[in-house]
Amino acid sequence: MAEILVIEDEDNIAVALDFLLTRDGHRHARMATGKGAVARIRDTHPDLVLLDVMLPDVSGYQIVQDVRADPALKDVRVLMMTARGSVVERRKGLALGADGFIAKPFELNELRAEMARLLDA
Amino acid sequence: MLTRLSLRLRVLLIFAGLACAVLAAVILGLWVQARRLMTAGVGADIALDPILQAGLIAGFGVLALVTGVWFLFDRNVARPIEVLAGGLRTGQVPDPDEARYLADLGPAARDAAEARARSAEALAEAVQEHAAELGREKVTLESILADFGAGAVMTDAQGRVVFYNASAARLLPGLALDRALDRHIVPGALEAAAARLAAGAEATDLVCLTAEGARLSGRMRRIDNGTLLILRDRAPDRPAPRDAMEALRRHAATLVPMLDALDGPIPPALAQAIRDEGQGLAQATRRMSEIMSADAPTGRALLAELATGLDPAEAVPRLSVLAEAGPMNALLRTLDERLRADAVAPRLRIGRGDPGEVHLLLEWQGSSVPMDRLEGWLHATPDTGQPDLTGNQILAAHGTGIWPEAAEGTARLVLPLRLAPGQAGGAGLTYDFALSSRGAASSRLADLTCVVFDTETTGLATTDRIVQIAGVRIARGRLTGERFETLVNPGRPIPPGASAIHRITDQMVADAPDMTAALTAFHHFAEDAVLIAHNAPFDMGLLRAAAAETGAHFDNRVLDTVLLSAVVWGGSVPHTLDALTQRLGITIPPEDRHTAMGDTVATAEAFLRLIPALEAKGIERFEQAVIEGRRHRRLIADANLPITATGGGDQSSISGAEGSRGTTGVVS
Repeated sequence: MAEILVIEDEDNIAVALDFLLTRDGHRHARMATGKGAVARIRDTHPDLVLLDVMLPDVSGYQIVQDVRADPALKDVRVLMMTARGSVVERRKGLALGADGFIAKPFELNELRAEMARLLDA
Repeated sequence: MLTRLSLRLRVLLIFAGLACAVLAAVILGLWVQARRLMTAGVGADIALDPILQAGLIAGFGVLALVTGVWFLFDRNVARPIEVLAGGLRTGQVPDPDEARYLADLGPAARDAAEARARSAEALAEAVQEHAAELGREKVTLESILADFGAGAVMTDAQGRVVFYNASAARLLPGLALDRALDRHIVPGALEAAAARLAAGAEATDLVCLTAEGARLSGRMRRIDNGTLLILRDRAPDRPAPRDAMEALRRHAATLVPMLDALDGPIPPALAQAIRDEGQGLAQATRRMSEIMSADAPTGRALLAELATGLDPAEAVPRLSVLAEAGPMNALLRTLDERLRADAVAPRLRIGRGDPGEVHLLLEWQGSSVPMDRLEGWLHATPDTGQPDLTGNQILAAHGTGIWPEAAEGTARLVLPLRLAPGQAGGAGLTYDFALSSRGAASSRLADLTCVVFDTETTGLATTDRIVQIAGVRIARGRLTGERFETLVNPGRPIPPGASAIHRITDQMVADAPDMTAALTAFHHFAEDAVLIAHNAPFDMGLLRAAAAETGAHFDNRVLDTVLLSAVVWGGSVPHTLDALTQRLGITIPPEDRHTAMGDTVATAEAFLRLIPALEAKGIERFEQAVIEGRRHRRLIADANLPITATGGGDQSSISGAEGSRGTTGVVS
């Protein structure tokens, strides 16, 4: 079972993710804003971060850039989620160091498959 | 009659006549005197002696005098007059010494010649000035037309192309001078627009489909004897995404009442239905966002335009991208300024992206720029011309984004842009307005539309493959300036022996189009033209052997410069390309020999110079040239397909073997 941090400002999606992650038996926590996210990742060192791109304060791209700038966090996997589904957003996220990118609305099976890919890697 | 003789000869004849007349008078006088003396009883032996002596003295005296006077007259009058006349005719200023006995005639002729020279010089200067002015205007007009974005095509009264620019060539692939325009455009639109013009409109708008299925909008204007057509890409009218909207509405409508049932226990069938509807909603939303983001920018910009005001690290390649030059350049300059304000000196590089795109890179030594900072910059409005557009909106309108990357002390911003289709711009303008005044095309050699071509190959057998092909078009006896040239990936290694001749290596053709792509493109270029090659059976054999593989059937009529050379000079002299061009005074630069384009240009020039030589022998038409050429079939076969000759007097079939390399000594 993996340690997962969800950074997501939309409560309803957070509830759905909470339901899914609990059912699959993952330990998880949620942050509703980006502020302090990198410090929290440093403290808790999760296996996977589910990261929304559009956060109210700090951009998800900024967070992934900061995580990747810290060599101590290189085994932390980052899966980005965005409602802006364009190909360029995906390329931008991957170029900044995200390990996966998933466009909303996603199906839970799709998310589960992507998470399994990253956690196995 | 005498006026046809030269002045000096006439003067000589006059003096000779004078001498004869004086001599006759002297002889007559002496004869009368002798008769009187003999009548008076003086003996003949006494009387004749002094008379004869007087006669001889008078005769020789008269002859010497007349000859002397003639000599002086000839040297000082007649000859200088002829020299003066010749000088006046050719515009040379006469030597004053030459005409010193001609009183004022010499100085007058000199003044006249000098005045004429001055006026000729002034005229030449005026003509030159005028020509230079016209030349400058022509260059200006050419650059305006070549670069004004839209395609421009001008046709003559018969609907044949006499002018087009690079944009038109991009919009209408295969466009060529002297070709009918309507073959590039689906029937209907052009005819309807022409009918509106005929009804009295000066110009009319139209929307048409190209033969390739692209939609263009344009404006047709009547000019001179033909029409000018201005064409633009027309973004397909995007229908409102009704289907996707309807799917969204349907899924939402089904889902909402189902969700009310969540309060109690949910039967499995309902749970499945909710799941299905949710998935349908997700798919419909995705489809909708794909439709909404499918817009590509319609503008085209050279990378050099986007690089204006930036600091390129190397020469910017001459490539066009799909971008609006103004806002995109403004955005890049703003980013450049912001970076410089952060005390870094970014340089522009052009990187390779995915196929069909390039990466614009602003690169500097140092650390990367934080995303939040970059996003802040993208909220600004860089384009003073469009102050309501933010950097993010400019990027979105281009379907792209920008992000920072960093590696080994070098940081950069990456901006992908799509390459514009049809990069090979070629010449900006192609035109020959004289085409419209040269009447209808005919089978006269001087009226033909031809494509002269040459191939370089992996070897000399008919089973060998093409590694390079080049062609130039000739319309009615003139090179049109249209060229086709491509390397071809033969799909097999090129033997070193072949590479040694044409200097084309496996590495050079690795990224080249394959036979199908190359020959299909060449087929477009050569369609409807008479194909001309030096030793045509070989090149035509390769093209036709490839037809099964490429689907491009070359059933064009064919002329062979080997046979035309044999028709003009007979079979006993060599007919290699080198020998032929040497005889015709054509030089092939050594570095161009055995390149497809070098040999093609030489063959084309040779053909153009052979036309008058053939006409002088009474061979003016294509059919005659083929029939005459067949007399030399022992030298090389005729490459025409077995078809019936039309037009000329001889209706016999023109048959020919194909594929034989002919006798040695004629290979290209």
